[in-house]
Amino acid sequence: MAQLRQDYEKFTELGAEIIAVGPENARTFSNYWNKNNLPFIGLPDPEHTVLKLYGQQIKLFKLGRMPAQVVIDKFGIARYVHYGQDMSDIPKNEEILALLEELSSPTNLAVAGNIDNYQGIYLDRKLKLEEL
Amino acid sequence: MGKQVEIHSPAPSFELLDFNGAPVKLSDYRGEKHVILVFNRGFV
Repeated sequence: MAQLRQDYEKFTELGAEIIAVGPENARTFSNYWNKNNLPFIGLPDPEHTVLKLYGQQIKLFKLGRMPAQVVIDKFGIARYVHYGQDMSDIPKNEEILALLEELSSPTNLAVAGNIDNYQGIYLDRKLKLEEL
Repeated sequence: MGKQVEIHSPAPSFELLDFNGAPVKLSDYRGEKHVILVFNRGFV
Protein backbone atom coordinates (compact mmCIF):
# COMPACT_ATOMS: atom_id res chain seq x y z
CA MET A 1 0.00 0.00 0.00
CA ALA A 2 2.84 2.34 0.89
CA GLN A 3 4.42 1.49 -2.45
CA LEU A 4 1.30 2.70 -4.28
CA ARG A 5 1.00 5.82 -2.17
CA GLN A 6 4.52 6.82 -3.15
CA ASP A 7 3.59 7.23 -6.83
CA TYR A 8 -0.10 8.01 -6.43
CA GLU A 9 0.19 11.34 -8.25
CA LYS A 10 1.94 9.70 -11.18
CA PHE A 11 -0.86 7.16 -11.44
CA THR A 12 -3.56 9.82 -11.41
CA GLU A 13 -1.67 12.02 -13.87
CA LEU A 14 -1.85 9.11 -16.29
CA GLY A 15 -5.60 8.96 -15.86
CA ALA A 16 -5.88 6.10 -13.40
CA GLU A 17 -7.58 5.57 -10.07
CA ILE A 18 -6.45 2.99 -7.53
CA ILE A 19 -8.98 0.82 -5.76
CA ALA A 20 -7.70 -1.49 -3.02
CA VAL A 21 -9.98 -4.39 -2.14
CA GLY A 22 -9.68 -6.52 0.98
CA PRO A 23 -11.66 -8.88 3.20
CA GLU A 24 -11.51 -6.56 6.24
CA ASN A 25 -14.56 -4.61 7.37
CA ALA A 26 -15.13 -0.86 6.92
CA ARG A 27 -13.84 0.03 10.38
CA THR A 28 -10.56 -1.81 9.90
CA PHE A 29 -10.16 -0.17 6.51
CA SER A 30 -10.88 3.25 7.94
CA ASN A 31 -8.32 2.83 10.73
CA TYR A 32 -5.67 1.57 8.36
CA TRP A 33 -6.30 4.36 5.82
CA ASN A 34 -6.12 7.07 8.45
CA LYS A 35 -3.07 5.62 10.10
CA ASN A 36 -1.17 5.31 6.83
CA ASN A 37 -2.63 8.38 5.16
CA LEU A 38 -3.62 6.55 1.99
CA PRO A 39 -5.03 8.75 -0.80
CA PHE A 40 -6.82 6.10 -2.85
CA ILE A 41 -10.10 4.20 -2.58
CA GLY A 42 -10.42 1.44 0.02
CA LEU A 43 -13.08 -1.15 -0.65
CA PRO A 44 -14.01 -3.46 2.23
CA ASP A 45 -15.22 -6.79 0.89
CA PRO A 46 -16.06 -8.88 3.95
CA GLU A 47 -18.45 -11.02 1.87
CA HIS A 48 -15.57 -11.77 -0.54
CA THR A 49 -17.76 -10.80 -3.51
CA VAL A 50 -15.12 -9.02 -5.55
CA LEU A 51 -12.28 -11.13 -4.21
CA LYS A 52 -14.01 -14.22 -5.60
CA LEU A 53 -15.16 -12.49 -8.77
CA TYR A 54 -11.54 -11.74 -9.59
CA GLY A 55 -10.24 -15.09 -8.39
CA GLN A 56 -7.82 -13.90 -5.75
CA GLN A 57 -5.92 -16.97 -4.65
CA ILE A 58 -5.82 -18.19 -1.10
CA LYS A 59 -2.94 -20.45 -0.21
CA LEU A 60 -3.45 -22.06 3.13
CA PHE A 61 0.06 -23.37 3.45
CA LYS A 62 1.36 -19.85 2.85
CA LEU A 63 -1.03 -18.47 5.43
CA GLY A 64 -3.14 -16.16 3.39
CA ARG A 65 -4.23 -14.35 0.31
CA MET A 66 -1.90 -13.90 -2.58
CA PRO A 67 -1.56 -10.34 -3.87
CA ALA A 68 -3.10 -9.59 -7.26
CA GLN A 69 -3.27 -6.54 -9.53
CA VAL A 70 -5.60 -5.93 -12.44
CA VAL A 71 -5.44 -2.79 -14.56
CA ILE A 72 -8.73 -2.09 -16.32
CA ASP A 73 -8.68 0.46 -19.12
CA LYS A 74 -11.33 3.08 -19.84
CA PHE A 75 -13.10 0.59 -22.07
CA GLY A 76 -13.56 -1.87 -19.22
CA ILE A 77 -10.95 -4.29 -20.58
CA ALA A 78 -8.33 -5.89 -18.35
CA ARG A 79 -4.99 -4.74 -19.79
CA TYR A 80 -2.73 -6.02 -17.07
CA VAL A 81 -3.31 -9.04 -14.90
CA HIS A 82 -0.91 -10.23 -12.27
CA TYR A 83 -1.66 -12.94 -9.74
CA GLY A 84 1.16 -13.11 -7.23
CA GLN A 85 2.73 -16.46 -6.45
CA ASP A 86 3.75 -15.40 -2.96
CA MET A 87 3.27 -12.49 -0.57
CA SER A 88 6.10 -10.43 -2.00
CA ASP A 89 5.22 -11.07 -5.65
CA ILE A 90 4.00 -7.53 -6.37
CA PRO A 91 4.81 -5.69 -9.60
CA LYS A 92 6.95 -2.56 -9.45
CA ASN A 93 5.12 0.75 -9.85
CA GLU A 94 7.26 1.42 -12.93
CA GLU A 95 5.77 -1.56 -14.68
CA ILE A 96 2.21 -0.34 -14.18
CA LEU A 97 3.13 3.28 -14.97
CA ALA A 98 4.70 2.15 -18.26
CA LEU A 99 1.49 0.34 -19.16
CA LEU A 100 -0.62 3.41 -18.29
CA GLU A 101 1.58 5.54 -20.50
CA GLU A 102 0.97 3.15 -23.34
CA LEU A 103 -2.77 3.18 -22.74
CA SER A 104 -2.69 6.98 -23.13
CA SER A 105 -0.53 7.00 -26.23
CA PRO A 106 -2.19 8.05 -29.52
CA THR A 107 -1.13 4.78 -31.15
CA ASN A 108 -2.85 2.78 -28.51
CA LEU A 109 -6.00 4.86 -28.51
CA ALA A 110 -6.20 4.34 -32.27
CA VAL A 111 -6.19 0.57 -31.92
CA ALA A 112 -7.86 0.27 -28.53
CA GLY A 113 -11.06 -1.00 -30.10
CA ASN A 114 -9.20 -3.82 -31.76
CA ILE A 115 -8.17 -6.48 -29.27
CA ASP A 116 -5.91 -8.33 -31.74
CA ASN A 117 -3.93 -5.21 -32.52
CA TYR A 118 -3.67 -4.45 -28.87
CA GLN A 119 -2.41 -7.88 -28.04
CA GLY A 120 0.37 -7.41 -30.58
CA ILE A 121 1.45 -4.20 -28.89
CA TYR A 122 1.28 -5.82 -25.50
CA LEU A 123 3.45 -8.75 -26.52
CA ASP A 124 5.90 -6.33 -28.08
CA ARG A 125 6.11 -4.44 -24.81
CA LYS A 126 6.65 -7.62 -22.87
CA LEU A 127 9.54 -8.58 -25.11
CA LYS A 128 11.08 -5.15 -24.67
CA LEU A 129 10.82 -5.46 -20.90
CA GLU A 130 12.44 -8.87 -21.00
CA GLU A 131 15.34 -7.44 -22.98
CA LEU A 132 16.07 -4.92 -20.24
CA MET B 1 -12.43 -20.08 -5.65
CA GLY B 2 -13.29 -17.67 -8.43
CA LYS B 3 -11.96 -17.81 -11.94
CA GLN B 4 -8.96 -15.62 -12.65
CA VAL B 5 -9.39 -12.67 -14.99
CA GLU B 6 -7.92 -13.07 -18.45
CA ILE B 7 -5.90 -10.33 -20.01
CA HIS B 8 -7.59 -8.43 -22.85
CA SER B 9 -11.02 -9.59 -21.78
CA PRO B 10 -13.76 -7.50 -20.13
CA ALA B 11 -13.22 -7.12 -16.39
CA PRO B 12 -16.08 -8.43 -14.20
CA SER B 13 -18.34 -5.59 -13.08
CA PHE B 14 -18.92 -4.96 -9.40
CA GLU B 15 -20.46 -2.48 -7.03
CA LEU B 16 -19.55 -2.12 -3.36
CA LEU B 17 -19.46 0.61 -0.73
CA ASP B 18 -16.08 2.09 0.17
CA PHE B 19 -15.19 2.35 3.86
CA ASN B 20 -16.87 5.76 4.04
CA GLY B 21 -20.11 4.28 2.71
CA ALA B 22 -19.86 5.79 -0.78
CA PRO B 23 -20.83 3.46 -3.64
CA VAL B 24 -17.99 2.39 -5.93
CA LYS B 25 -19.06 0.94 -9.24
CA LEU B 26 -16.58 -0.25 -11.85
CA SER B 27 -18.77 0.90 -14.75
CA ASP B 28 -18.69 4.48 -13.41
CA TYR B 29 -15.08 4.65 -14.60
CA ARG B 30 -15.98 3.62 -18.13
CA GLY B 31 -14.80 6.31 -20.52
CA GLU B 32 -13.40 8.28 -17.58
CA LYS B 33 -10.44 6.59 -15.93
CA HIS B 34 -8.31 3.50 -15.95
CA VAL B 35 -8.69 1.49 -12.77
CA ILE B 36 -5.88 -0.21 -10.90
CA LEU B 37 -7.55 -2.88 -8.83
CA VAL B 38 -5.32 -4.08 -6.03
CA PHE B 39 -5.85 -7.17 -3.91
CA ASN B 40 -3.54 -7.46 -0.96
CA ARG B 41 -2.93 -10.04 1.68
CA GLY B 42 -4.65 -7.97 4.34
CA PHE B 43 -3.59 -5.34 6.84
CA VAL B 44 -2.65 -7.42 9.84
